[in-house]
Amino acid sequence: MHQRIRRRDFVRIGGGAAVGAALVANSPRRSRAQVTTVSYGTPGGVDEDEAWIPVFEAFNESHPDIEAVYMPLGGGYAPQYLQNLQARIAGGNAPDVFFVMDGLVAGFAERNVIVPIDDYLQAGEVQLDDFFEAHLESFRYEDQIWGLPRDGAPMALFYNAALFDEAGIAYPDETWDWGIFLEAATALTKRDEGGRAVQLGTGRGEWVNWVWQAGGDILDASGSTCLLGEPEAIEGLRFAQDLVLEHQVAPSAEDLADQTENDMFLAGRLAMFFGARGALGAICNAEFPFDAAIAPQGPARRMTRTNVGPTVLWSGSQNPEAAFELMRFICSAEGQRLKIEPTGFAFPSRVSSANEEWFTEFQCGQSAGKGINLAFREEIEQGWVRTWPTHPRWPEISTAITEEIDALYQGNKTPEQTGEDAARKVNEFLAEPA
Amino acid sequence: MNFWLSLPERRDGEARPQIQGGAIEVTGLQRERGVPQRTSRLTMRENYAGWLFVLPWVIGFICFTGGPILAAFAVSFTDWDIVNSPRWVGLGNYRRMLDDPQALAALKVTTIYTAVSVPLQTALAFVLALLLNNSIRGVGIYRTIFYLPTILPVAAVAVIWRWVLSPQYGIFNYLLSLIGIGGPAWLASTTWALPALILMSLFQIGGALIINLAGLQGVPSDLYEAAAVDGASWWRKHWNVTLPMMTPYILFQLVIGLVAALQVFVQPYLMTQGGPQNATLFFLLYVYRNAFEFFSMGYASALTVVLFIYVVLLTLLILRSARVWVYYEAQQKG
Amino acid sequence: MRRVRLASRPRVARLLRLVALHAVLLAGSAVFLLPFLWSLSTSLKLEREVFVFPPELIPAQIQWRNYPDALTALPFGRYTFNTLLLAGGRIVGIMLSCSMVAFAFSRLRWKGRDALFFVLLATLMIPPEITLVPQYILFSKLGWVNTYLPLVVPAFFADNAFFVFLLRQFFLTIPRDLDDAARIDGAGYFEIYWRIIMPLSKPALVAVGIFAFPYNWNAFLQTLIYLQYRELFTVSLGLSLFQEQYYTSWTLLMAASVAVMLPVLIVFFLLQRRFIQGITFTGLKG
Repeated sequence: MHQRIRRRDFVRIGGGAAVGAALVANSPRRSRAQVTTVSYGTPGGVDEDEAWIPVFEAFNESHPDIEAVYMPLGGGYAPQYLQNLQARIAGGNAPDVFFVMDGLVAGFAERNVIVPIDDYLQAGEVQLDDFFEAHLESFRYEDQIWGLPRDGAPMALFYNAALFDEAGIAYPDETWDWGIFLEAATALTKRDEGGRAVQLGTGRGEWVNWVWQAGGDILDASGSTCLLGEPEAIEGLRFAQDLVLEHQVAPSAEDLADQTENDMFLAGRLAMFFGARGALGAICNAEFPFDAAIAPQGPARRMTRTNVGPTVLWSGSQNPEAAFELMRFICSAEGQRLKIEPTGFAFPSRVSSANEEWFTEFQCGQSAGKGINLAFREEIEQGWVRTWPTHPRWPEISTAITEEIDALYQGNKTPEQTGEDAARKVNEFLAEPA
Repeated sequence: MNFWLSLPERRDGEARPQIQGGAIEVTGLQRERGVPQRTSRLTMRENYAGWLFVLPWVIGFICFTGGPILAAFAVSFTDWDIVNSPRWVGLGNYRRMLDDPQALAALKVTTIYTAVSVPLQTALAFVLALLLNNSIRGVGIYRTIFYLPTILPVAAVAVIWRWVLSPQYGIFNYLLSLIGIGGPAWLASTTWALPALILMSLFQIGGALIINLAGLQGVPSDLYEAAAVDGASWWRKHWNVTLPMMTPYILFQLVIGLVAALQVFVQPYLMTQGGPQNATLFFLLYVYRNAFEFFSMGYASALTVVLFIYVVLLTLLILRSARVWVYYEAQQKG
Repeated sequence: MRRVRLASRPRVARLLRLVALHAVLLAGSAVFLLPFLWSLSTSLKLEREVFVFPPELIPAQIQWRNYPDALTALPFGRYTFNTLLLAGGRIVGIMLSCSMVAFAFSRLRWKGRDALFFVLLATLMIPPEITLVPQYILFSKLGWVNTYLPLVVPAFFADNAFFVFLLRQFFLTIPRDLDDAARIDGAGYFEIYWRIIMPLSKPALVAVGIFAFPYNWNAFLQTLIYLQYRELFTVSLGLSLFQEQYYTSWTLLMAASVAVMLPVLIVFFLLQRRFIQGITFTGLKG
C-alpha cells in the first residue's frame, strides 16, 4: 500500500514540477550584457505598440552602443498604470525613461523620483526653442527642467460642418467671441416636447478654459495663493455654469450619463465640442464632414488648456546618460514624425514638426479642412494655451476643485460660492508644509 | 455538501448527530466538547502532524503575506510617498483622520452600500437557488446565465453598465417606464448613483448561487416529507424547512459578503470616480487615491487599518447575532 | 430512499407550476443577460455604429470579422496558453495546499490551532491594495519580477484564505469515525488525508475549481504589476491593450471580451452539472 501511494504521488509531484519548469522556461531571456540597455515605459496599446516600432528601430540603428527597449506597462491609460509605475519605482524596477500624466511631474520632481535634465541638455547641446514654450512650462519646477514633451495638444473647437450648413450658420473662425459663440450654440440646440435634448449646440468645454478667458486664474504667479475666488474667475465659472443650466446649450449631467461628449458628437447630436487633437482617433469615424477651429475669444483673452505627454527620467536609472539619449530621440523631430505620422492623431511637441507637410496635410475620414491640424497649431504658436499649474500637490488640489465644479454644474452652488469654496480649500493645501 | 450541518451515517445505518460546525466553530473561539480520551503519545503525534499540515500556510504567511501585512501596518505610522523612505509620524495619520470629513463620508457611503446590498444579494441568491434547484429542462443553461455577469471582463463592464443605466434610453429606465415610472438619472444623480451601484451588485450573485445550490442538496428530504404530510404549501415549506436548514449557509454568505462589500473599489473607480460630488466615494477608493495619486501611502495605510478594525467588529457582531437565528441540526444546549 | 410523493398532486397544478417557474426564470435570465447582450451587440458592430443614439441592440450589418480581427490584433492564442498555464498552476497549488491546511484546521488537534485559524480569517479582511506595494518590493528583492513565480508559488502555500475556510467547513462534516477506524488500522495522518478525506471531498474541490478558475482567468492587477513582457501576458491584460491614449477600440474590445469569456462559461456549464450530482452523496439520508 505504501508503494502505491509513492508512485501516485510521484506522478503528481512530477507533473507539478513539469508545470513549474514550463512556467520558468516561459520567462524571456535576459538581454546581451555588452551594450547599455535602457527602457522606455508607457501604457501602450494595440496601435501604440505598433507606432513605436519604427522609433525604436531607428534609435537602435543610430546608437549602436545603446539598446533601447520598449517597455509597455499595460493596463491602458487607466488607473492601473499609475499603480504599476509606482510599485515598480518602489521596487527598483522602473523604466529608465517613462511617461507620466502631466499633473504629476511636479510631484515626482519634488519627491526625487525623476531627475532634472538641465545638465544633460547643456552637455548634449539640445536646442529648446524648437519645443513649444507652453509645453515646456509644465516641466519647469524650481527653476529646473524635469522632462521633455513627446506630444501634447491644445484644445480646439471641433465642429460638425453638416449641422452648421443645415442651420445656415457660418463656421467658427477667429472672429468668434463669447457672444457669437453663444448665439451659434443656441441656434444649434434642439429639444423635443419633453425638453430632452435632441441636439445640443456645444460641449461644456473645460471649466478652466472659461476661467482663463475671463481673465482669471487658478494660482497666482508665485503659486502660493488660489485666485478662484476673484471676480474674473467667478465670471468664467458663471459662463461655464450658464452654458449648462441657463442657456442650456451644453449637456447636463443627465445628458452625459447617456453618452460622453465625444460619443454625442459622433452620433451627430452635438454641433461643437472642445477636444484635444488626439480625439481624432475616434472622430475620424464620423459620418459627417467635420473640422476644427480655434477656440472663441473670452472677454479678457484667448486661452485654452493644452495637454502634454511628459517624458521623464527616473532617478534610479543605472544609465542616465544613455537614458537621456533615448528621451532626446523620442522627443526629437524625427522621433515624433516616426511615431505620429502613421496614425496622425497626436500633436507633435515641436514647432518644426507642426509645420511639416506630414502634419499639416493630414486628413482622415470625412475631415473637411485643415483646421484639424492648423487650428491646434495656431493656438499653441500664438501662445493662447497654458497647462495645469505645476505644483507638487496638484492631484489633491485638482480633486478638491473638481468637487466644487461638480456642484457648480449640478446647480447646487452659485459661481461665487464655488469660487470661494474652491479657493479656501486650495489655500489650505498651499499653506500646509510639503 | 454541508458546511455546518452534518448528518453522518455509521456504516450500519444509524444516524449519529455530532457537534461539528456552527458559529463558534467558525471562529474557533471555543473548544470542542465531547472529545474522547487520548493517550499523551497520540496527542503529541497529532500535534506534530497538525503543525506539519499547516506548515505550507505558515511558511507562506511568513514569507509572502505576513511581511507585507506588517509592513502595511507599520507604514500607517509613517508618512510615505512610496518612492522615498518612510518618515515616522507616530499617530499623526490617525489624528488626521479625525479631522478629515471625507474619510468619514467615505465610511458612510461604504456602510450604506454594505447594509443594503449584502442582505439584498443574500436574499436574491437564496430565492434564485430555490428556483434553480431542480432538474427541469434547461436548468443548466439558466444557471449559467445567472452566473454570467460575474465573469464579464472588467474592461467591458463600465461601458456596458453605462448603457444599461442610461437615463434616456437605458434598459432599466425603459422597464420602469413600462410600469409608468420615470427613471432617475442614475449615475449622474447624487441621490441615485449609490443605488445604481447597489443595483449593479445584484448581478454578482453567481458565487452565492453556487453555494446555495450546494447547500440545498443537504436539506434532508424527510423534513420535506413531514411538511407534505402536514399539508404545507410551497411557501410554508420553504419558510419552515428550507430557510432554517440553510441558515448556516446564509451566515457564511453574510460574512463573506460583508467583507467583500466593505472592500468594493473597482466599480466606483471605473464608473463614477467617486462622483457625483462624492456620492459614491467608497472608502477603499479614497484609500487608493491617497496611496497612489496623492503620494500619501502612510495615511492610506492608516485608513486601511481603521477599515480592518471596522470589518472585524462588524463580522463579530454578525457572528454574535448568529446564535439567535442560525439553526443547527444538532442542538446540544441542554 | 423515499421521495416526496408528487403523484398525489393534480397534474394540471403541476403543469401550471412548471410553466410559472419557466416564466419567472426566463424573465430573470433576460434581465441577467442584458449586460452580456450589449457587449455581444457591440462586438458585431462597425466602430461608427457604436455611438448611434438611441443605442441599437441589433447592428445593421453583422460584422463577424470583428472576432478574427480582435483575436489576431494581439497574440491571443499565446495569451490563452499563458492564462491556462497560470490558472492551472495556481489551481493545482491551491487544491493541494489549501486542502492540507484545511485538514489541519478541521481534523487534527494541535496547540495554537484556534489562534492561527483566527489569524487566517483575519487575513481575509485585509484589502489587497494595501499590501500591493510591500509585496511587490519583496518579490523584487527576490528577483521574481517578470516571471510567473510571484503569482504561482504562493498558491502552493495556501495563499487563499477563502478556500482554506471553505474546505475546512466541508471537512468538518465528514464523520470522525472514518478517521478513527483508519487510525486503528494503522494508517498515518497523511494517508487519512490523501486516501480518505480527499476522495470524499470531490464536491468541495469542484466548488473550489468553479470559484478559482474564473477568478484566475480574469485576474488583472496582480498579473499586471508582475508581468512586464508582452509574451507573458494573460488574456485580461491583453484586453486592456485595446484602450489607447486617446480612444478605445470598442468593437474589438467587446469581441475579444466575449471570446475570452467563452472558456470560462463552458467550464462552468460542465462543472455545475457534475457538481450538483456529485454532492448528493456525502453523509445524507434520502
